[in-house]
Amino acid sequence: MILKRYGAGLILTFMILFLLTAMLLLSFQDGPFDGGVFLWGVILAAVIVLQYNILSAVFKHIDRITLLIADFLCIIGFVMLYRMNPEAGERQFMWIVVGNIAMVAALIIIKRVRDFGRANWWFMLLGILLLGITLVLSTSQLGANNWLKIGPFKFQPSEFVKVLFLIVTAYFLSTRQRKRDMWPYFLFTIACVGILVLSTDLGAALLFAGTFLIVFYVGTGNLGITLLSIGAFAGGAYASYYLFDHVKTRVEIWQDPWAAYEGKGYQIVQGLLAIASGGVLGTGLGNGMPTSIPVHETDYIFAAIAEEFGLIVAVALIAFYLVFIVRGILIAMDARAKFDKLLVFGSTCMLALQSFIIIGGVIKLIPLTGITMPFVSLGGSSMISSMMLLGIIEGVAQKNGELDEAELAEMGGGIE
Amino acid sequence: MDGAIYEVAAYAMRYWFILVIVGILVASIYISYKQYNEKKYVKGAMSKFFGYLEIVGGPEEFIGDRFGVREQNTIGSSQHADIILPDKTVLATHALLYVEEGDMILSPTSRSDTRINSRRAINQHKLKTGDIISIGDVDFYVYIKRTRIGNDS
Repeated sequence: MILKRYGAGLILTFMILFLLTAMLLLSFQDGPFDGGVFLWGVILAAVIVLQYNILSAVFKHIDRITLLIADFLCIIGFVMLYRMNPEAGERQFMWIVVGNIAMVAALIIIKRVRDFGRANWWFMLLGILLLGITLVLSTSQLGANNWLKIGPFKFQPSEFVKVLFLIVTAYFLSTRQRKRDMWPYFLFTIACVGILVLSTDLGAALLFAGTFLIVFYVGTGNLGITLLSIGAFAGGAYASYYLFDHVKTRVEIWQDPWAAYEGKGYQIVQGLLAIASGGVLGTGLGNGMPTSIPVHETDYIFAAIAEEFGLIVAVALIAFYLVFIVRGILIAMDARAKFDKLLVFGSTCMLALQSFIIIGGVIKLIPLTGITMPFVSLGGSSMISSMMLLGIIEGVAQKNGELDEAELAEMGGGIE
Repeated sequence: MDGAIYEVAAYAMRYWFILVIVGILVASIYISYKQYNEKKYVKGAMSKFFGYLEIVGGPEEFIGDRFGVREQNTIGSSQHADIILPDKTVLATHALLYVEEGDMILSPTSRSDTRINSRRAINQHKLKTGDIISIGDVDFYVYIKRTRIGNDS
């Protein structure tokens, strides 16, 4: 009996067509044909085609659809960034390449490792240290102290602590049977969320707390501690509303951004105006004014895409995240070891929550907290960490596929 | 291309972009769905098999054939048997092969010529991987699955 692996060449072809036509259109934006712009599209297309073909040849069992969805999100982010600021697009291209290397590294490591054992204690220490250093030395950026500058490099440690957090979560929930043996993990979570709240990086704090709640409940099924944590979480949110002015303003401008149009609400209003002016079909690539939205390159890229490509594409983008999440959960359910299950589930959960928090913030569904949109937003730290999460998912998918193949081979079957 | 023409071109191209992106979305959902169904089907079918019998001796045209072993199997030359051997040394219902508490058991019917590793079998016998069972003139290699497809939990 043969289990057939479907190639996704059709999807890849459509993606490349989209990228090339969009870059061709953009190359006419400033009057005569500008070959340099189109060349960037060709280079990115070559990178994506190479990446897909090499990865699916070397790692036969990786989940191709998840990989291609991530690639597509990178492509639409690149096109939008290039349209708004060619220099940002070129930087994003570099980050896509670096992110792919990080993904392959994560894939290979996860494929070989069982559960990292004692190294988890060092991961915890490293995570706290990174966040702590950021709290002390950070340079303030848009209300959140989450950047660390070392010489010419600037990066966001919380993005990398995300990966460490997921590994530690999976390790403790899979190896400890009794709840009271998990105390180091609880302390680690509280420390991470606490430091993030203190450095006013509320988006990341929300992400860590939400991932903890979901993965803990899925991993242990313990309703008591989960409800207790939700209570603590709600209490903490309530307290921080009164303790930090930052939180208060965020909630106020969420309730009525028009009242503070001249000041803090300007960003949300501009985002909503951009989405509204795009309408269902969009203004057409290059015809809108997405650059008038503050931080249109990172947090507000969803509004920029919605303006120029229209609501249908914006909804399709959300649907892409949903397909990604469903496939991630299927891989988690298929995994044999509990550590792998929880690791993949955690990674999927984190990407899901992250996209929900930022898209929800942009469309004024929930208060806006600055966080990047996975795979789409400009930013090295964000791209690398999202790609590492993708690498974790693909690594476990590869593990699953190898075991499936061994089981089928026993019966004279195989996977093609 | 001057500004006005670009604007018209971009305006027209948006339909193409919507079409392509929705196409990618529909294709990825469709392929996911098909892959999921096929995997479910293959895994479901595979989990019904406990092992296989491979013909290693006997009439030339049978050699190399494989039969999956389910929970209850009858071996014989009749059309109603699960493992059909159209050979004149095989009785209509020659032997029963079934799985009981994780063991695969061969139970020959009376008067049948059944041997396990060249020794004549009359009563029920447990089989293990590597045994050669002979049904009439046909020799089978027995393989019993070590693992069952499924999760550890």
